[in-house]
Amino acid sequence: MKKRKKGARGFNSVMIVWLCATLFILLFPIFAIILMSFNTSKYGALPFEFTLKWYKQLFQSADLLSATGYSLWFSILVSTSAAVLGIMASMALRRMSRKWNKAFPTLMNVPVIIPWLVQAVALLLLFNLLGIGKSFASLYFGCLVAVMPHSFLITYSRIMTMDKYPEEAGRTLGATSMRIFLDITLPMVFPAVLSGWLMSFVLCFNCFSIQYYLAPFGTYTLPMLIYTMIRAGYNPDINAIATILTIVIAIVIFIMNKIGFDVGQLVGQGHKEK
Amino acid sequence: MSEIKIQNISKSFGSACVLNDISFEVKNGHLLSLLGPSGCGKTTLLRIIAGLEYADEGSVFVGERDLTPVPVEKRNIGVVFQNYALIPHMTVFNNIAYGLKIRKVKPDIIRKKVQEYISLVGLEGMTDRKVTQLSGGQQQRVALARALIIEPDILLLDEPLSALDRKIRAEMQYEIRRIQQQVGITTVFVTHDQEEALTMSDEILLMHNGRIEQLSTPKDIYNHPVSLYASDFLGKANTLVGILEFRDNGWFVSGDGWSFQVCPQEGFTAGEQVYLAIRGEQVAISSEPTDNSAACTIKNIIFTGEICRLMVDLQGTAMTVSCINVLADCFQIGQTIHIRVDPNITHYFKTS
Repeated sequence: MKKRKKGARGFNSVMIVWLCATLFILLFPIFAIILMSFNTSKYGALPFEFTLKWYKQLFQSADLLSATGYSLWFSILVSTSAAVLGIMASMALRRMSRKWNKAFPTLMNVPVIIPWLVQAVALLLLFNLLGIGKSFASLYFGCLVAVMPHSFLITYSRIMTMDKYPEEAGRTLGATSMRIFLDITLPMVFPAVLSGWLMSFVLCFNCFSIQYYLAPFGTYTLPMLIYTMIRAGYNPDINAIATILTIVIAIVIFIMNKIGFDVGQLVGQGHKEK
Repeated sequence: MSEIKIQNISKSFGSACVLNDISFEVKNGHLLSLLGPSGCGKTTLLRIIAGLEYADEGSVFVGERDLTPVPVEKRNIGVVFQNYALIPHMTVFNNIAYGLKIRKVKPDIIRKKVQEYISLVGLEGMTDRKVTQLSGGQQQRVALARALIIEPDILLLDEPLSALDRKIRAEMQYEIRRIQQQVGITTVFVTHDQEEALTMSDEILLMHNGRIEQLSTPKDIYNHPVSLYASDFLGKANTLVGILEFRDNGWFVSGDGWSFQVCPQEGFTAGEQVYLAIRGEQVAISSEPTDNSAACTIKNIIFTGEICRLMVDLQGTAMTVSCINVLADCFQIGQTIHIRVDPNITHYFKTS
């Protein structure tokens, strides 16, 4: 009996080896980069000698830091817009007929399926036609188109599975629709909105192909700058910035976990229903 | 506190007619149960009274006020939902206080009133708990306090007890009735549980396929059902098919090998085929034949606690007869017993 239970719940040795191999392949490059950012050798050669000179170089060269700053505030802007639009679309769609309830999320899935490169080229053509070409507006809308479906789909699935009776109870108690939204609906969908926001943030930060095609000349986001730098010749201060970003993201996930959102919840259905 | 007047309410969803010309009144301070199987339209009717749904036709009056055009948030009606519908991220205090906060009542008055209603529903000491930490019965009490604190004109309860387990349910039946009578509020209570309706109500409105089947007091609706449906839904009557006869200065319904005396009912003629509804617990059982009794054989005895059900065979027709537990020991499977019914509470209905 005990043995069967163990077999059903735990891992056998083959699976453990497999798991370790998978985790190694997934995580080794990240650790390698973190290690290399502290290594003296420019080309990642061994033996390992500890140094902080790449960090010093990073903070002295204005390029990487300003590009990081630009990427950060730009991603915050885009993911916040996506979150707001995601809530608005979900709220509206909830009141529509079943036909739209099926059709619209499917339509919203299209940008998820189409490769970003194709989307970027298509958007560039469209923006050229509209006369705004490569500009901040086209960069903003291009990234928004790419990330909005994720924010919408997460919020929407939460809002559709959510218990609607607390809102009705609010109405019978005399609350106007605005108050119900602020007091009841928004707090109830908030975990989903937050996870949608995080998802959009990460995607927007990383969507190199769209940024590459749509960013105005002279504007560099972090992925664009790294690409340019690698083309010109690899420089280990890229490792340093990658390390800083990895650590910041790890801390954010750790904090989110501590305040009660587990990672599965964040990328899944949001708040668990009892 | 006012009476409720429902006039000619009809409602369809697409081609399905859910409510068909419903009219009734609830007297001031009374509790009326809307009773019926799921899908009979009782919840829709309640939602129309609450204003969460709109009727195609008809009007809803509370006191002298015509509520038909009034939106739900201006109706001043207390509603308790089936799944409690508490706001999950708020504490007990904030849930109960919500209606008052919407009405911009001063904080110190809110605090006083919430305390008052918390003790009314018996939740002292739980003020600052999260509602998700409460048991089902406690959550229902919070929902009740939240609905009552706004001093609504009427109270609507939508199957408030169906999610609770049996023991808590019995306790809450009593509690809700006590609170309702203490506050003296006119109440409409939706349920599919006939026992719950019989225990709690001043009046029961039995619904069937979007129509009113019968509206009466619990005792009357149980003892004098107007239709086979009503007699079957309240208390599961045995239904026998027989011929109505007039002989020896009395009316009888007779079948193959049995005959029971009944009272004359209007609209029936001798020789007509009728359904005879006999309640299992209204049957007198004896071991010797008596006047107008019928012999039957015990096929099985089922012990259910307070009462025992005897599954008997009445000349080929299966029937269920109940007797209290202590008497059941006199009977064995295979024994022949003689049953007799009280004509005053035995009813028969047209077969068509």
